[in-house]
Amino acid sequence: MILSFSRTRIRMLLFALTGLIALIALGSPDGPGPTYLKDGSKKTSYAAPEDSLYKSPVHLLLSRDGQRLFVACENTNEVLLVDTAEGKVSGSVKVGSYPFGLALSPDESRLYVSNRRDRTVSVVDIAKLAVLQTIPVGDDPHGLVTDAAGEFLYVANLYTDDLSVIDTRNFKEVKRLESGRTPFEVALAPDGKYLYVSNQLSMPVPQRTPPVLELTVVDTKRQVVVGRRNLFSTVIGQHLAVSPDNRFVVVALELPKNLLPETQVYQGWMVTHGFAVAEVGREGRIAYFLLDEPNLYYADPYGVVFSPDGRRLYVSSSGVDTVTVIDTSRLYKLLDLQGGKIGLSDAAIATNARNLGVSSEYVLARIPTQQNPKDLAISPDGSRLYVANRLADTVQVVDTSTNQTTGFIGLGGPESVTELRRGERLFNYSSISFQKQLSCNTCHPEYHLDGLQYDIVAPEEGIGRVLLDNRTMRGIAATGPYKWTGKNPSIARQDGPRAAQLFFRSHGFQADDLRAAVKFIESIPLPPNRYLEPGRRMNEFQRRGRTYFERAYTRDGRYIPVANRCVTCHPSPYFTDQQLHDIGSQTNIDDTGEFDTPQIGDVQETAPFLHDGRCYTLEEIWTVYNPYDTHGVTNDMAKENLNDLIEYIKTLRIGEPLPYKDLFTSLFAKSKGSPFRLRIGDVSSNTTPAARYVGNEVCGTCHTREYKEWLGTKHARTWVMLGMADKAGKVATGFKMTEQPQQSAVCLECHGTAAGVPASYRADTFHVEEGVQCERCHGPGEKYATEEVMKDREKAMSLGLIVPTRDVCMGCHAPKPSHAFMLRKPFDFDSAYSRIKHTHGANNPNAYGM
Amino acid sequence: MTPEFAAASDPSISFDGKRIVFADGKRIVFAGRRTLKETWNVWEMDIDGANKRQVTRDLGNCREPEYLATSSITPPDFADRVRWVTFVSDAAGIYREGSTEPATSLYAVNTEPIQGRGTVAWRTTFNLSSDFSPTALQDGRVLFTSMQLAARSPGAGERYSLLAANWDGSGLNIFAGDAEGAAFKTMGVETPDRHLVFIESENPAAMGGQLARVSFRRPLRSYEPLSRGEGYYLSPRPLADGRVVVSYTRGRESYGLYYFDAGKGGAGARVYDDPQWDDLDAQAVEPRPEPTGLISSVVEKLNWGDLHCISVYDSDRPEMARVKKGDVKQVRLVTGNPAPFVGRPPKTPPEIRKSVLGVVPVEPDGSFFVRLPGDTPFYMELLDGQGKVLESMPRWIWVRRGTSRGCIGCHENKELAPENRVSDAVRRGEPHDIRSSR
Repeated sequence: MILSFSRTRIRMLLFALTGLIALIALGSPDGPGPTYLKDGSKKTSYAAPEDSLYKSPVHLLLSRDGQRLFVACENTNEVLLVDTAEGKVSGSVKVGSYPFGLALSPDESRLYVSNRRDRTVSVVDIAKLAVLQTIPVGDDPHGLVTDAAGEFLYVANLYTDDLSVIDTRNFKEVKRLESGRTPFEVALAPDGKYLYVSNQLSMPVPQRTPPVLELTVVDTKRQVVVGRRNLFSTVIGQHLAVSPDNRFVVVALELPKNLLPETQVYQGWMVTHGFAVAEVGREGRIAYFLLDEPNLYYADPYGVVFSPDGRRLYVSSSGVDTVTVIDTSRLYKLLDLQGGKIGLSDAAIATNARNLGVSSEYVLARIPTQQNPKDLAISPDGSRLYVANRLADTVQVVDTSTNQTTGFIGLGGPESVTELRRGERLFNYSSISFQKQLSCNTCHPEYHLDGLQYDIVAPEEGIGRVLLDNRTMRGIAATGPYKWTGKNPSIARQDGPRAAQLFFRSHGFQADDLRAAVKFIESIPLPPNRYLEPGRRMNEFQRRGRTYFERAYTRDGRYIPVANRCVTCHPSPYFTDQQLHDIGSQTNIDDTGEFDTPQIGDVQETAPFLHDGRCYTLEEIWTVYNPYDTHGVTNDMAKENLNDLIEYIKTLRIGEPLPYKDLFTSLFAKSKGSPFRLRIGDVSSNTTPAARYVGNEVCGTCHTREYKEWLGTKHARTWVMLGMADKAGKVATGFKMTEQPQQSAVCLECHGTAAGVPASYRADTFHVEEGVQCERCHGPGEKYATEEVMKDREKAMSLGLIVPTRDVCMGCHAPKPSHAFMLRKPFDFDSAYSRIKHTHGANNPNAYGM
Repeated sequence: MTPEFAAASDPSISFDGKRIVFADGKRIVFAGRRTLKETWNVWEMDIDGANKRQVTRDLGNCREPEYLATSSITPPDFADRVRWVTFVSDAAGIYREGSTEPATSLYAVNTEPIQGRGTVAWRTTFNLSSDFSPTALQDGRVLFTSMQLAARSPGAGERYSLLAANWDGSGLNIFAGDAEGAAFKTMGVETPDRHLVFIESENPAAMGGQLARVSFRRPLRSYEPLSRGEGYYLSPRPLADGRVVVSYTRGRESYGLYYFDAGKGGAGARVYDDPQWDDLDAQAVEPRPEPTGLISSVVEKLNWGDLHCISVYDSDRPEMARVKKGDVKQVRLVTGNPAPFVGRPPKTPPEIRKSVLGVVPVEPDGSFFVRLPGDTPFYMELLDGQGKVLESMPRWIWVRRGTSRGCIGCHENKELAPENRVSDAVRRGEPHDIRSSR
C-alpha cells in the first residue's frame, strides 16, 4: 500500500520537479544560466555574438624568407596568412577545432596544424590555402615539428602524454613515444639530431616534495626517447627554443613555492617566473633564471625565441603584457661556462633560481605588449620580432634594434570587448595580485590546473594545516560550493574576496570586473571526452563499470548503503552532489574530515587526486586509500572490476540534469536486489517497539528533499564510518567488544537505527547499514508512514510519529570518554542542528519541537 | 588656504579615483592645529581650502598624513572598501628607545566611514624607537623611515632604515640597504620611472641633506647619489613628467623650490622662492596613479599572530658565517616594556625593560614556527645548546593580529625568493605557542 501510494506521488512530483530542474538548467528568466548541448559539453548563454568572432592568435610561424607569417587562431578555427611586408592578413584557411601548433614542411609547400579539440592535425596546401588531409593523433595535440628532412612529423599530445610520429609520405601515424606529463611544445635542434619536448605538468612526485618537469629528448634518427631530463622544482613548461649555436635549450616555466605556507606574496613567496637553460643533448646540466625583480613579477612566461645570431633571447610574459629582452652574453657569463658547458656549482645554480635581483644583469629591455602575449617569431635577419597578442587579436611588430614597437597587425576580430572577453583578459592578467606576481592563469594554465598542492594559510587556520590540491576551472559552473573545504558558496566568493585575501594579497577584482571574471569562468567548458565520443555507445568495459558505479550490493552480496554508493555522491549532471562528506581521507593536518565532493567529469585529467593530492592515479584512490570502504565499497572488487569502474568514470562528462526523485527511485529499486540482512551481535535486547521499522527509503519516496538533505549529513554515513578500523576499532577495543563495530548493537545504538530491536521488527525495506535514519528520531513508521495517515499530522502522531526534541539528539551527542582520542570539537547543538535541519523544518519552526 | 589654523603642514593630495587609476587630486589631507596649545591632528579639505574636516581625534600629535589606496578590512566579503590615510603619531605615549623624546609610530585611519563602524584608527607599526616619514608606494605598501638602535648593546647609536610594510602594518621588510649611502635616509618618494628618491645625511639633526635614489628593480644594490656639490635638500616630489621638485638651499638663505637637474647633480630652474620663508613640502596638484589597494589581513578579534622561519642559517650577516648548521637549538623572543612618556623630558633616557616572550626550539633544518602575541614588538636571539646567544637581531619587529608572517632566514639576502621546500617546523604541524608564557 505504501508503495502504490508512493508511485502516484512520484508521477505527480516527477512532472513538477523535472520542470523545475529544467528551468534551473536552462536559466532563470531574470538572468542567464547554463544550457546543455547534445554532445554533453556545456555552454552558457553569456556569450555575445562577437564572442565567436574573436581570433585569439596563439601560435606564429614565419616562412624562411620572412615574407609570410602564419597565425593560428584558436577561437575561429583558422590559420591566417599575414603578408609581413604589407603588414596585413592576405589569406586564411579553416582547420580543425581549436588550432594550436604550426609546422612547415622543409619545402614550405605544406603547413601542419594541430587541432586540440578534434584530436587531429590538418595538412594544409599552402599554395591553395586548403586542407589536404586530416590526420588523427592523440588527445589535445599542441606543439608539432618535422624532422630536418621533413619525413616525419612529431606531435605533442598533451592529454595522452605522448608524441605521435607521423610519416609525412602517407600521413599515417607510425609510432607513439611516451613523453613527460602533458607535453606542450616541441623544438628541433639546428642540426636536426635531437628534438626537445617541454612538458606542462610535473611528473608524479611524493607529497610535499618539489614538482619536477621533464624535458624529453628524442633522437630523430632512431625515433626513440633518449633523454628524460628533470627540471627540478619547476612547473608549467611552455614554449622552448634551442640556441642557434646548438648549445642550450631554453624552456619558459614557473618556479613555484607550493610547499611553503602561503603567508605572503612579497619576496617571491607564492611563485616566481623564469626559464631553464639546459645544455643540449641527452643529458647535461641545467640552470634556472628568473624574469622577475624584487618588487615586480613577470607572470606566466610563455613564448621563447632566440635572435638568429643568438645574441638575444626574447620571452613573453603573458600575465603582464610584456616581452623581456635578454642579453645572452651576460646570461652565459652568469653560467660560468667551462668549455662551453655550465660551470656553476649546484649551490650557485640553486641560488640563481631564487635570485630576484640578478635579472637586472641580463635583462636589456621590457617591451610592453597588448593583452596576453603568447607566441613569438623573429624575422630571418633578426630585425623584427612578432608577438601574438592573444586577447587583443593583433600581431605586434617590434624593431629589435630599438626594442620599440613599430606597429600592430590587426587580425580582424571585433573591436568591441564583450563581458566574456573582458573576463578572460582579467583571468589572464596578473595586475590583480600584489606586485603582479600571479594571475588566475598562473595556477590554472589553459583554465585547468597546475597539479600542485598548497598550504593555504587562512586566518585562524594557521600554517601547515589542510594541504589542498589545486582544482580545475573547467566545467565548474553551478557545482558550488567551491574549495575543498566547501567554504565558498559561489565562484564570486571564491575568486573575489577569498582569492584576494589568500592568494593575490591585493584588493582583488572590482565588482564589475568580478562579474565579468565569474561569467568567463562559468563559461569554461570541459574538453571533449575521448573515452566516449558523442553519439557512441559505451563499450562492454564501460558498461560493466557503470553497474559498479550504481550498484547496491557487493559482489559477495552485502548491502551498500545509499550514502556509500558511487552514484549517490556523484550524480548527473555534474557528478557531484555538491555536499561535503567524510570519506575517511582526513590526515593529522586536516582540521576536518569533511570535504567537498568534486565534480568528476573529465576527472582523469585532474591528477593527482583526493583533497590533498595524495594519489596520482585513479586506481590508488581505492586500492591504497580506501582500506575501510568509506569512499564507496571497492574492496570486494578484483582488479578487472576496478578497471571497469574506472573505464566508466573516464566517460563522465556534464550530462543531462537528473531529478533527485528519479535518482532516488533508481537507487531504491536497486536496494531490493538481495535478501541480505546484516547480522547484528548483542541483539539480546528485550526492547519491543510499538511497530516495525520500515526504513528511510519508504520515507524518502515522498520526502525527496528531506531525504536528499539527510544524504548530505553525517547521519547517512554513521554505519559506514564504523568501518574505520583505526578509529571505531580503537573504541571497540576499549570496550573489549567481540563483534566488529559495524555489527555491534552497542555501537549501532548511536551509529544506527533499530539495531537493538528484534530482527522481526525490521521490515524487508529496512537496512541497518543506512545509519541514523528517519525513524531513529521519528519513531518506527509501520503504522504512520502511509499517505493517508501522513496527511493528518495528529493522526500520524497518535500512531507513533515522534516530533523529536533536543534531548533525542543529546542522547547520542553527549561527550563520550571512549571517543575522546579523536579530539573532536565539542558538540555544538545549534550548529549541528542547522546542518541537519530539514526543509519542512525550515518552513515550520515548530515541526521538530526545537 | 588655512587661515584659521595656527599651524599647518605636511599636505598630501588625494588620488580621488573611484576606479580609474589616475586621479585629479580633489582633496588634501594635512596636519594642522588651530591654536598652538592644541595637539596636531589630521585634517582634510577640498583642493580650494573649503570644507575642512577633522579626521583624527585624541590620537596624540598626528603628523605627516599620506593618502593610501582604498582598502577594506572586514572579511569574508571585504565589502567595506574606503579611503585610508596613514600618518605619524606619538599616541603610543612612550619614550623613544635610548632617548628622552617621545616615540612616533605609523597609524592608519579611514577618511570615509565604514558602514556600521564609522571611523577606525589602527596603530600599524610597533617599533619602540620611532617610525616616520611615510609615503605610499604604487604596490600598495607604505615606505617609511625607521629609527632603531644600531645594536642591542649599551650606548649603541641610532640607525635609520627605509622599511616597507603593507598599509596595515603587516609584512614588514627592509626596502633599501642600510649599508650604502649616508646613515640617515628619509623623505623617500617613488618616481614614475620606478626609483625611490630620498634625502640622506650623516647627521639626523641637520636641517637638510643630499639627494639619492635606488631603483625598484634592485633597491638593495642600486644606491646612487644624485646631488653633488654644495647645498641642502628636503622634500623631493616627483612630477608625472619625470621631473623632481625639491626644496633647496645653499645653506644660509631659506629653502626655495627648484626642479632638480639630474645632469648637473644639483638644483636647476627655480619654481618658487619666498626669501622670507622656507618653502617646503611641495605637492603637485596633478593626476597621479592610485596605488594598488591591498585587503587587510589583520583579524582584529585575534590577539595573536604566527611567525614561520624557514632557516635561521640563511643569513648574510658576517657573524652567522661561523655558525654551523645544527648549532642553533633555540630562538628566544624578547619584548620591550617602555616607560610611559610623561611630558617632561627626563635627564637620561628611560630604560626599556626587556622580558622574554618565550623560547622556541629550532628544528634541525633551522626552521621554527611560533604563535606569539600580536601587535607586540620583539626581537630574536639565536641560542646554542647551552643557551648562549649566537646572534641577536637588532631591530624591533612585530606580527600583526591574526596575520601569519614568513621569514626566509635571519637577515638573509633579501633578493632571494624562498626555497620551495617544507620546513621541519611546518611538517611538525603545530606552532609553539608562547602567547601566555610571559
